[in-house]
Amino acid sequence: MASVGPALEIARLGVRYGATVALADVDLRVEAGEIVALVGPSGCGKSSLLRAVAGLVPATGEVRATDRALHALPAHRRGVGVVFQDHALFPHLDVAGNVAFGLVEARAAAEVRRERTAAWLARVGLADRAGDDVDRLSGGERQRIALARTLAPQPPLVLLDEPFASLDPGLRTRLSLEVAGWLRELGTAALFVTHDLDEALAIADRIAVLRAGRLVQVAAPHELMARPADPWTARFVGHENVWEGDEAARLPGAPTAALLLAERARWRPGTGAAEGAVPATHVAASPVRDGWRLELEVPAWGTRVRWTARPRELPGGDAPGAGTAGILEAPDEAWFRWTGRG
Amino acid sequence: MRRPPFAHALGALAAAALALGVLAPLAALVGRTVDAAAARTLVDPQLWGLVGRTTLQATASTAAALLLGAPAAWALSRPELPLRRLWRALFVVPFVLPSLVAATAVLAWVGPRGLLGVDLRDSWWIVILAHAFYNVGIVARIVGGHLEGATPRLLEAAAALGASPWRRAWRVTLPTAAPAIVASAALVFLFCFTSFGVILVLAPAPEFATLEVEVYRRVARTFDLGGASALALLQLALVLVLAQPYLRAQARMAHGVVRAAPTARGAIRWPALAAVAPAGLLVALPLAALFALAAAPPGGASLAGAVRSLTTPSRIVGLTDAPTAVANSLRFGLVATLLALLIGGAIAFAVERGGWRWLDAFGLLPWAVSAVTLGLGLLLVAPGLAASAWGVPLAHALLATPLVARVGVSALAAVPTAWREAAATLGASPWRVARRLDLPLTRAAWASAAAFAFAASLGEFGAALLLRRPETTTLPVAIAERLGRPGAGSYAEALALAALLAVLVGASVALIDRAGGRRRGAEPF
Repeated sequence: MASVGPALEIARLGVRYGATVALADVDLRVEAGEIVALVGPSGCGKSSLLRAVAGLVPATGEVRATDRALHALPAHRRGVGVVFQDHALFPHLDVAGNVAFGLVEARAAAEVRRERTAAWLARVGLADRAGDDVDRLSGGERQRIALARTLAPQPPLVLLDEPFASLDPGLRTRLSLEVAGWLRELGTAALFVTHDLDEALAIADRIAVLRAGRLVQVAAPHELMARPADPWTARFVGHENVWEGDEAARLPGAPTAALLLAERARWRPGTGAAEGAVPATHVAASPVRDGWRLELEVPAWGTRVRWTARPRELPGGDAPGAGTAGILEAPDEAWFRWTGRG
Repeated sequence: MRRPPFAHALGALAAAALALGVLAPLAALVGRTVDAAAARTLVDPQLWGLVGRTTLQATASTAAALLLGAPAAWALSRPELPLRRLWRALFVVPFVLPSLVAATAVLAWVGPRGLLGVDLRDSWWIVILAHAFYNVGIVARIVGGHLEGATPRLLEAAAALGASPWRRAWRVTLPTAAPAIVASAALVFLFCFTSFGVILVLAPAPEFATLEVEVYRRVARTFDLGGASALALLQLALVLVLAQPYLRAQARMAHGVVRAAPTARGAIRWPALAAVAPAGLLVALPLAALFALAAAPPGGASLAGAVRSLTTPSRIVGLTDAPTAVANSLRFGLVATLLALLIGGAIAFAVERGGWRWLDAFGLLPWAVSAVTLGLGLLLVAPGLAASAWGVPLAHALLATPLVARVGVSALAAVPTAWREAAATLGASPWRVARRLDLPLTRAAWASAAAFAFAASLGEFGAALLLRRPETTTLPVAIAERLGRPGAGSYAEALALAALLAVLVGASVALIDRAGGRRRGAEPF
């Protein structure tokens, strides 16, 4: 890859629809070969960001790719690949015709076109479906063809808009790992929108969190989970033990806001003492995939803590009865505290 | 997405064509009308008698079409109706049937030498009967299609809420059908108010004349171009006013149509059959009479004689040869279709891809301007051109343009934006998107528009009659010529020609289905 700059560099990007501001002042870099996931609640501007980069909506600010200014170019001259949420396969072309579409526009020689189309069909495992009508493909097959179509012209950057949203969960996980594999193999940089955080954690090098049209954090997955930018982000990425304001003031260290990383804490029935240990009474339990989700009343902090227990961490492997007294060990490394105004 | 330059170029082309082809003739009509003598035509009490009689005639005709068409529409929407597809196909026939074929068919049924043996020619009865025959299909199709789309799920819901069949008809079916009934009634009224070929053939006496017929008579008989212009403009103004209820009702129809899953066929069949039968017979009988009489002409003539006369120069003095008329019709139809595709296609691309929204409404103008009016306007603006071999195809192209544009606009609007965006991100410029996506995806719609335009040109009578010269006579004009002559020979020839025209039109419309009308085709109404 003889790239001369980041695969994508966005500066002060803004999108508005009439009076509604969909995106404001977004700065983001995607390095060559990097996979960045874009997450956020519905309506936060994820799709607008993708569409602005692709040139499908009018936007303010700058968009550069490998030091090429894209913001003044129409969509068809940007050379940015896009995989659409609903696949947008062309119904009047067969499977091979869809994959070859971009190669034709790139004026690839007929030989090159055939070769690359065949290679991509083989790569996505649909070599025997070349002449098929796209209407006859299953959801997963449609998804693969949409990917092959986007990747066949070898764009240095691809944008994926919730590419796996329409697939059932099992297929989704498998296909997302497969796609990440292809992207890494080709050294193609990618910015992909998803509402599935697990998917983002599984395949992204970095995750960008968008809230109400603004980027709140861009970080590597473990960094995002361990050091979310603010309580909102912490809750958004799935943390349950987040306190702010008056609730936080009663916690150890009296922070402005705090997050208890539940997997670094431990609860056990009975009594005793350890570093950062407080009495915690079990109130209610509900089954989860890998054990029990316990609700613990912590009088010292004036709040409740939710903690997931694996069966082997519990006597008899079963959920304790309501009212069971216990000890919650929360050492300092289990805490992430925000200080100052947040 | 950006608006591409080619769409603007097409918009300019279409606007220029409409300005030259429609606005300039209308301006010429205004110019003629401003003349004092012509303006006096408008205050002539005889004229207002004519408008009053035409209004009554159109009201009676519309009532007849509604009376037979509304029950048929209800029956068409019932899943238990036997032979549903056949009935539906039968009611499409009058849509595309040329007025001269319709008139000849009614004549073959209840005219002099008609199959029924009663001669109703030159009476209000035959006018109303012919109009009901010609327009009952419009009511059945518009109302039936609307009910079919809107009601099955609603009726199930009403039944689940405890409504009996009669209560369901009263509280669900009728209110749902109301806008479609109003829309079809308004459209039928317009057609009957401006009726031309049917009147000229079935009731040629002066008291039955519509404005359209009167305009033609002033041009052809008395060469009163000023008076004709004044009447043509009066008719245009009335049509624009009368079109409002139709447009408003049609806009209301657009709401609340839910495509329902097919429902199981019920058990009771007789009510539906009884409701559809009168309208079905009204459409089927004249057509059967036409083909029966064409095959075995009355009064000593024979089909063999008629066919012979159609393939050789006519032995009746002063008539255009049938082969010439057929060749003219086919040639004019071809040229008109190509021109209409060009102008209508340009309008559609400019509206949908270039954002020329106003052109959408402007492109409908030829529909408001009647055929005779357009022919007269062209004659005033460019007498040389109008009288040449280009006059008729040019008029037909302009008349077919709104249809092509409507079909094209809705077909292009149906191409999902996401597909065009996908093509753009794969490197296709707007022009390439039009070539690689829009055109292939809308091919079926253009094909069906072309077939409709061709059929319309084959059957068009008013403009062809007004602009006729012996060497530009078309099939409908040749039929009218023969019907105007006494004698069994010319009558047999007229019947044979009408049957031939019906077959030609039927064949070109059948191509609509073949061309994929089922997938993404469209109907003009």
